This record gives sequence, C-alpha cells and structure tokens, in this order.
Amino acid sequence: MKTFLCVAILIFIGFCQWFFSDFFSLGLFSPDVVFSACLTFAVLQTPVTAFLMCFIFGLYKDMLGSSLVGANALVYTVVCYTILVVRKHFDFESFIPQLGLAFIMSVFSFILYQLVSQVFTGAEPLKVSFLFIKPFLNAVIFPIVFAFIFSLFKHFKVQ
Amino acid sequence: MGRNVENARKPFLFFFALSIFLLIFPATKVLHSARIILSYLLYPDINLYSKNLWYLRNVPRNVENLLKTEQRNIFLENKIKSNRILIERLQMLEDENRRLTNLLNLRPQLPWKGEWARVLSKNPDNWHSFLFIEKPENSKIKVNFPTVTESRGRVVFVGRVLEVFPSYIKVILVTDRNSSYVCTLGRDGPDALVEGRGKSKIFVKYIPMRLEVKKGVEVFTSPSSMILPSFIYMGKVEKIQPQGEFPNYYMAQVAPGFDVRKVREVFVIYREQTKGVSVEEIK
Repeated sequence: MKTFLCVAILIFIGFCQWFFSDFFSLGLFSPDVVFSACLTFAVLQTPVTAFLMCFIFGLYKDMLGSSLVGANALVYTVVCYTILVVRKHFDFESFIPQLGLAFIMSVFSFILYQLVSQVFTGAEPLKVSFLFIKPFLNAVIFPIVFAFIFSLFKHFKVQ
Repeated sequence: MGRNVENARKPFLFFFALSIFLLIFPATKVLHSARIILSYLLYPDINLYSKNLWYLRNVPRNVENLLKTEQRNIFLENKIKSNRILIERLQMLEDENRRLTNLLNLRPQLPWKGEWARVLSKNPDNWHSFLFIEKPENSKIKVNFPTVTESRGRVVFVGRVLEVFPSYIKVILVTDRNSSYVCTLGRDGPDALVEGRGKSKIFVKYIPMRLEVKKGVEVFTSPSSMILPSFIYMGKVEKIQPQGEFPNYYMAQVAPGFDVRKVREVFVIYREQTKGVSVEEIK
C-alpha cells in the first residue's frame, strides 16, 4: 500500500509541478511543488523511504531541466538528511515551523545547488533573484502540500 | 518522531554516492536525448522560443535537427504570413504604378488644361450615380467642369462636377438618372441626346428613324454642347431599341467607355460654360 501510495504521489506531484510551471508561474518562478513534497517525505517518512523519494524527485527535476544530471538528486538527498537530523528537535507538523523549514531549506538548497554547479561545470545556473521570490513561494505552498500528503498517509494508515 | 538518525546514515551515503556517480559519470548522448525530448514534451515553450542553444547542448545532431526543425517551421510559417501581406501590398502598388504610367502616357491625348484627382469614394446606394474625388491644393475646379478618365488607353467621359466642397468634390456620373448630354453618333454622325438611368448602361435618345445606327457605333460628346469639349469618347452602341418615346425616333443602349468599379483617378477639365452671343454682339 505504501509503495502504491508513494508512486501515486510521485505521479501527481510531477503533474502538479508541470501544471504550476505552465499556468501559475510568477514571472520566471513557480511554486516548487516537488521540493515541498520532498520536505514532506523527509518530515513524515522513514529514512529509507524519504531518501528514495527525495532522490527520485531530484532525478525527475534533473530530467526536466537542462543542467547537470544528478545535481538536484544530490541536493534533495542532502536536504532530506538535514531534516532527518533536525526533525526530532522541532515539531514540523505545526504551521509556523513549516514556514520556517520551507524558507530556510529553499535558501539552503539554492546555495548547495550553486556550489554543485560551480564544482562540476563552473557555471552558476540560478540567478540571485531566485532568493527573493522562491523561498517565499515555497513557504506558502509547503503547508498545503504537507497537509495533502499527511492526510493521504493518515487516510490510508501509512506510517 | 523517535526514529533513529543512525538509520539515516546508510541510505544517505548510498543515495549521496549515487548522485555523485551520476554527476561524474559522463552522461551519454542517449540520456541527453531522452532528457531533451522529455523536456520538450512537457515544456515545449522552452524549446520553441528559447533563442540560446543551452537546451540543445550535448545532444546528437539528429535530435537537435528534429527540435530545430519545428522552431524553423514556426519561424517560416510566420514569415510566409508576413510575406503574403507584403505581396498583396506590392500588387496594389504595382497596379497603382501601372495606372499612373498609363495616365502619364495619356498626357499627349489631353489637350485641355485641368487637374488629376484621386477617387475617394462612390455613392454607396448606387455606384452609377456619383462619386467623390479629392480636391487638389489650390484647385481651380468649379461646378460643371467636365471630368474624364483613362480606360484601355482612351480618354473617356465620366461626368461633370456637381458640387465643390473644401476638401472634396462631388462628380455626377454620365450614368446617373439626372444626367443628359448632347452627343454625336460617330465622328460625323447626327446629334442625339444621351442620358443615364442610374444603371450601368446609358441610352441615346432621339435618333431619327431615317438614320440607321448599327451596333458598335461609337458615341462622342457633341461639338454643339455648351459645357463639354467636343469628341470625347462616351461609349459604344450595344443594342438598338426600335420603340422610342416618339414615333419618329428610336433609342440605342450604349455601354459606357469606363467601368465605374475601376475608376481610380479622374481628370477634371478646366472649361467654363460657353457664353451665348448677346444681341449687342450680333448687332
């Protein structure tokens, strides 16, 4: 059941990401639903499931983008690990910590992605303007994605 | 919440290593092709409208050609549309150029003083009644001045000025139901009266029964007309109508020498109405 639910969420989130990018983009930016789903899995799921889902989501974004293959997978894996380390100290099921988590992790993933790109290609694919918009968008969308996935897990009694 | 962080280390190391492996592993062209086709399928806008080749790097030539073909196709389709508009404009200019060249060639055939004027519009209710022409700057055009045009290399009578406004002039056509002029059948034929009926044809009245007029006879303005210069071509007899309004005369239907749909410019002849001879002058 868990596997089936994870695959369904993967497909649905992938579709949502495409939908937001095409129809609800704010200039060049759109809410990063995939990133929010990664954070949710990292907060809610066991380490193996969380890493697997984050890695797959990262690969999905790599496949859609034009940059390094594996860069997003690496960034999401590190983000997932960071959350797994700190999640016992915070209650990420509450609203305010969720906003903080999404905001801080967006900035963190941005810096990490730039570092990985610098190391492997010498290029900086993301613009600094990303920092002024994307974290706020992610902070807004993350509680919604979290509530949706959390309710699914609760409904299907998946731990 | 009580899950052990220790459990996270092994999978973290595994996926971390896997990501690094993907990053350092030289991505094959097949992988890049799959990526770009997938991104093209999901985000066609990026590929279609991206001018830089960032999205097409490290891609085999055939895949690159496939994607570029669509870009080029859209570009060419837009170019064809704009070219069609340009061609239509060019054809309009060519037509105008041909007409104006004809008018220039016609200049030696115009022994009168006058001015050329463009046709602005026609009477929307009846094209065969009157038309509006633009008034040239410092124009000396007055009411009743005759107007001619060019048709098939000939000077053809069109009508006369009915009203002069500050920026345009109204010309009543020979085909209008209120038009009637003295005409002559052939260059040395008898005079008759030509009048319009508000249709595409004009009619010559008062042709004496003793005179035989055949189909194809040309009709000209008469030397005896007070407002028109003599021998301007008006049209050609098309049909004889034996039953006239009076028993001693018959009528002929005449096809005017111009097509009102094709009149673009007219030449207004400076010609004052001929003054009659006064009694004092006779004396």
